[in-house]
Amino acid sequence: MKQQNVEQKKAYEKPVVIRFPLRPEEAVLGFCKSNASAGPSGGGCTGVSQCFTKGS
Amino acid sequence: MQSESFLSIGGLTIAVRCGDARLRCHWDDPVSRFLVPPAPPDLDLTVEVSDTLPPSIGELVFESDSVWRMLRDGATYRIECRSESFGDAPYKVATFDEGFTRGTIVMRSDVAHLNPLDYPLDEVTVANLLGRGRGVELHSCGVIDRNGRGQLFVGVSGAGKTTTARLWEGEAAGIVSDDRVIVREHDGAMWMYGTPWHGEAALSLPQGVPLAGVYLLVQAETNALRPLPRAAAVAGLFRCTFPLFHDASALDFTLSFLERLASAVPVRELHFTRDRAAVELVLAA
Repeated sequence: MKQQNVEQKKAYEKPVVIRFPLRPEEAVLGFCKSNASAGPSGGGCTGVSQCFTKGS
Repeated sequence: MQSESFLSIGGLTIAVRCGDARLRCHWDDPVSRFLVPPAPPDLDLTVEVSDTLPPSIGELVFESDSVWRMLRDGATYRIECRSESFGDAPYKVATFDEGFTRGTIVMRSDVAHLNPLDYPLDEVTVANLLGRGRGVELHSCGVIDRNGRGQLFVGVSGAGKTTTARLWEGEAAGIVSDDRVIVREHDGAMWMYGTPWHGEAALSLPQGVPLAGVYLLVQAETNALRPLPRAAAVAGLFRCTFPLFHDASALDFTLSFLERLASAVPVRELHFTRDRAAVELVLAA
């Protein structure tokens, strides 16, 4: 029985850190979409200078 | 009142009341798809024109370092929008009560021809409504499959959202947005909603449907679905939200909402090769 419990014990896995880097300029709604920045390319993005260039 | 419009975005109703003939309070496509008949609004907005904008008073609570910033003066929030095109001073200022139930947008006369809810004020306003316990906006592409189920493909700029939308165009019953999708919880079920804010494919629908699957987009050499530990799922989703960084309770809500989302709906990585096999993989999941 004791032997069985040992076998069922989950193998130790070293914790790993997974990084998901933020993109501040996207997260703060700071820019409209262009080749160099982020934001939607639709809606009212043509209203301000940063948003003249539409991109993917 | 010159004109009144009611928009429904993510199931939230916003009334926009324009009292000045100089204002451009009509709505182009795709925002016009989100117009609804008059209804009790979650947010009631009045729009005015004045060359004397309300003074910039209060504590600076958030600076985007680009096109908008937020101040707080007692129970009043003030959002200032700036652009190089219109000089150093704000070209429009919006003030809101603490709960974001009522607000006033004041536009300078030289920009009265712009829509008062033009970016960034539209999304910043909706982010403030959602962050008060209502839901989350995700940088994502939302697809309604032929069974009426919502499939959400999440990723930062360049991750492949528009590509994904195009791969699904012949297969989907609808694509609610190829760039911004709102997720809300109703009676324990997660729903996704389209927004007027689209990407390069210009796909935008106002519909909301129950959410069946969430996929974090990873461009790869082969197509594969990989399960994620819940913590990694929440972290991967969080980086694609637009949280209220200045508001601790809103941040708490956003993280707890994402945890509930990851519990209620499978969140997986979709490694994809930008071909249609990725669609088949999701449909078979």
